[in-house]
Amino acid sequence: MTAAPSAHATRPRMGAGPKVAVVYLAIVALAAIFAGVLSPRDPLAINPSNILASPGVRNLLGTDELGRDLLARIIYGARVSLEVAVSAVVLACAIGIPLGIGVAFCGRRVEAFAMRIIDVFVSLPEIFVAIVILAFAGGGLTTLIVTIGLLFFPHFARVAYGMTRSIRAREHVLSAISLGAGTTWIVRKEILPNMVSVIAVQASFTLSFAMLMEAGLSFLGLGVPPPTPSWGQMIGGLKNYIFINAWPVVVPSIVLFATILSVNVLGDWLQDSLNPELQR
Amino acid sequence: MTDGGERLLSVRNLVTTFDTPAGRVRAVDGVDLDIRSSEVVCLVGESGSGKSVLGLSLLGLIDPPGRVSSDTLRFDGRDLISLPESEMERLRGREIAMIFQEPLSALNPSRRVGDQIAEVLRVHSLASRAEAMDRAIEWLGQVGIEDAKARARSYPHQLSGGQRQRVTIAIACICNPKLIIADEPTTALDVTVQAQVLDLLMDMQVRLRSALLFITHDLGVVAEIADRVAVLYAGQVVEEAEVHDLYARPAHPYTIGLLASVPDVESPRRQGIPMSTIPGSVPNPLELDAGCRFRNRCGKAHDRCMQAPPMIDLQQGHRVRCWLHAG
Repeated sequence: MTAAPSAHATRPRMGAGPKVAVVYLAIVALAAIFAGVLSPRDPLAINPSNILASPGVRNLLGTDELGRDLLARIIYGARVSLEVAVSAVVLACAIGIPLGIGVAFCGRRVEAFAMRIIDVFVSLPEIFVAIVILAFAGGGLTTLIVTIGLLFFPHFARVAYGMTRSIRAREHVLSAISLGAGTTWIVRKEILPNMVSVIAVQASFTLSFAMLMEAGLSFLGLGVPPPTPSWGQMIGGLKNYIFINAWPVVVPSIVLFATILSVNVLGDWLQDSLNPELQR
Repeated sequence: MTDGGERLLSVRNLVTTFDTPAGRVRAVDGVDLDIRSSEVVCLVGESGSGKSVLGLSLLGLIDPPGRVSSDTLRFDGRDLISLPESEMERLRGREIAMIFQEPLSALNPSRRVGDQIAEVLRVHSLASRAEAMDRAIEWLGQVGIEDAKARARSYPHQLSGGQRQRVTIAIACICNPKLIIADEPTTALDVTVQAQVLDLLMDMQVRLRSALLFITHDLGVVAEIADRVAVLYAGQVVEEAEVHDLYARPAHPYTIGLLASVPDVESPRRQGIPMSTIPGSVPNPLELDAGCRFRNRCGKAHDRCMQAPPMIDLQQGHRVRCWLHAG
């Protein structure tokens, strides 16, 4: 039987994990946005007399091989990480979602053709393709964003396509058509709202993939060109000195790890809480 | 409201077929149906008789591989067969509205019910956003939902089954349609709620002066609400009559069987006589021939039932498709 109806949706409580994740990500996001104000030092200023320092009073998180302040570089690096990941996901959504929905409305032939092509894209080893593209096109923010965005849009297209197919078969869509709704209206009011939760979860996981990929590419020297700091690039550079002083490479690694973990924890939480049918 | 009223909907030889891997299924096979304005017509049939498909066919809601054809499909002076899809969209919801059997699946789970009611006005550009919301709340009140303003902000899963069906009735009625097609609107509800929802629907029908095509298998409901009844069997209308006529003088063996199987408290069932049923089941729609479709369940079947039975006019408004009444 139906539960006692209440006027307001009861959202599941946020556990400790997601709360910590939100706080942590908020700090990272603020650092990225207000890097200029928050950064204690110039991330590019070198200091040959204080290289590879451990965290301490002078440099809170230590210094790198050129004596640059690691805290400042991590703060500025957050900007690159978030900018690349968020823009790539937005790009992937902007291409993938309309494509997936469009294909689902196109009849069987187009569907079969388009979805097989998408399958080919999905099955490509992403990091390999990214390495090839960036090796030819050269690094840089825009190239990174476009490459990662293009690599991930097929995932969104597939999800959007599948969701559209299944939502379209539901009776409330038939009901909306019986009330005079046209295709555009159906997509906007019946299909998109019912797909948002699934897309949001997909987006949150893609966000962490995109961050990892940016870090990986920068680690390999294919991402943002120096001296602009990025976490992956810092790890890649500092790994060479791990036996002299491990601190400088450990610090950005932990930051990257914690960020990815937070995004994933939040993604899991989203998955559980955004589905209105689980809110009973 | 039995007599008078001009002809609102006129259907001749409506055929809805579905091409399946196993062959072509004629779900609706040559149905003739007239509905006058403000009239309540009940379409009675058991599961698989094609009654829901017929309702969807009228609104042009059959998707491929289904196909609808007819000699005549006129609604309020317009020919729906030749009407372009854009015109059909204008007509749906505004002039012909539909109420579905299961309100939980007929409502969008992720949008507030107030928005969903207001949406009908917005689809047809009949009101501004704020105005549409005001009217949606007003209608929620009219369909008997208390505290309408707060309820408008609820999601469908937060309402009870009866409240949900009230919402779909508000959605169907808000544009003041000339015809409401209700596909078993009370079947999915608790028995205690069924009567209330039925009362509401009939109340709305009288107030809006809409015609109502009520699709059901419940003959008890039919007796209460119908002006006229069409009995559907395996995609064909086997009998059509004014409601009193049908109950007083059922002519088709199937109708007689249906009426006999309605449990009656005053019947001597308690004395150990089993409830009357019709033996067998609806024939496989893939294996239909020209002959009478009821013949293998009919106690009065005869050799000539192998041939297509003619539609015979017994008297004004009472037609039956059966050899028993021929000649």
